[in-house]
Amino acid sequence: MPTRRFNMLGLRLSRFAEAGTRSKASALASDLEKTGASIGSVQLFSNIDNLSLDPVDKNTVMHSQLLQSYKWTNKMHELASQAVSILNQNTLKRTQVPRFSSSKKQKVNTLAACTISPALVDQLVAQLDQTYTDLSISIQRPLGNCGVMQIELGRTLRALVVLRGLMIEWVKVKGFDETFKTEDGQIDIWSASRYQVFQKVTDNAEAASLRFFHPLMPQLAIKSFIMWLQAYKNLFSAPCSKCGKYLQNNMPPTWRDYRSLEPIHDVCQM
Amino acid sequence: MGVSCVYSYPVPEGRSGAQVVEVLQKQVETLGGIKAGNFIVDCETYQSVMLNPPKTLHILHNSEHPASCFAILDSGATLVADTLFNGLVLYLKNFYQARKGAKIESKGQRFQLSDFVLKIGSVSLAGSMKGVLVEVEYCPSVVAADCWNLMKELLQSLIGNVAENPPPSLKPKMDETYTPAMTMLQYLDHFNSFRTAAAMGQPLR
Repeated sequence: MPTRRFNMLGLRLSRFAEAGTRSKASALASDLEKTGASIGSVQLFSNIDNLSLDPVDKNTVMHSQLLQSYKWTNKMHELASQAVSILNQNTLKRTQVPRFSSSKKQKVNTLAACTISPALVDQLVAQLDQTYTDLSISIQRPLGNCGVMQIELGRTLRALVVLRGLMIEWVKVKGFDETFKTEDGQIDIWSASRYQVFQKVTDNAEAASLRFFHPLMPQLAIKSFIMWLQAYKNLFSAPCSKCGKYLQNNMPPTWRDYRSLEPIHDVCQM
Repeated sequence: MGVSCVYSYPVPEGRSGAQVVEVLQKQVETLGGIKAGNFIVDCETYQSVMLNPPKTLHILHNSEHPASCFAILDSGATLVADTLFNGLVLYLKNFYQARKGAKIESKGQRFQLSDFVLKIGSVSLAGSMKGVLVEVEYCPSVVAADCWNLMKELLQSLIGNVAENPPPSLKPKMDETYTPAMTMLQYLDHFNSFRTAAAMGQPLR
């Protein structure tokens, strides 16, 4: 449409110019300017808009999908930057942000918990194994330095804890009749329990491993984590300390208080 | 595998067993149970031919353990074997013979309710319905003493005061690690009382 209008105006302009009527020509020129202003600047299409115009792509859903993922990335970026600003307020960190600086500086940043020798870790595990009679703890190193601690708690549950130095990296909890071994006899740290109760306990244990983390006293962190885990011995036999019932949503109290170690239902905590 | 408790649910007078089963199923569904297939527990009884007094041998099967066969003596001694054991018993017919019309089974719907498995079975002896058995299994635990209170809470919301105490055959073994054979012993107990009630000619209360 705009091109046609321009053409017509241009035609009339040339005619008046021929006639030599200057005033009319200037009036027309201003007219032309007005038209130009009303049209506005020409929009530049981005690649994605060109794609939407492509008739071949009409049948596919690529355009809408692209738009959606674009929105998603934008939102994620926004949330990530908010998270960074919040997390930056905390100076104690579990994981190091990789900094591309000299190796000397990086060494200073490494946590003390990660650099503990395997012999010391073994010693601590042996000590813990002796302290708690209803716990049996063993440690293996299937892949080099990282230890995999397997804990058996009475006849209630089995837990697997992956350690980096003395830092808890990974926790899984399963039932007493389940195993942490794959079919070919290797340690399986990934698979979850088939019971909902232990899936919930796994979630809570992961939260606890973060809660008890201590950057300067890793031994204390592990000890308090084990002590907390030991409170699950009565997972099936203890009623909730708040509502006094055994079942809530058909689940026993799967939460143990960090301080008092009392059993509480997930719902009753609120 | 977990701890199971089996209870016989009384059929009130003027009601049929099928009606009671339907009410119980509805109740389980209201609790949030999801249908998860069917189940069957059957029991065949053999009697020794030569011994005096005769000894009885019960052969039980459970669809929950399809590859196993449970042989239980009256004393409670239990043998868990492969299903091939069925064939072996046939060879023993000179010593043990099947009692006629003694085949009893409990079958019905199976429900899943988070970590619980609930089974509502109608018991039929030689083709006629004799009663209702309710089994509740709590899968994550392996010690009955640990999870009894928790199971009691669920059982009482389903069948009321019938589940006031642990099943009698389970009581002495509450602290042991639970095995599937313990479930079968409970079923056998109930089957035996259904049989004696049928022999007396009156329904079990």
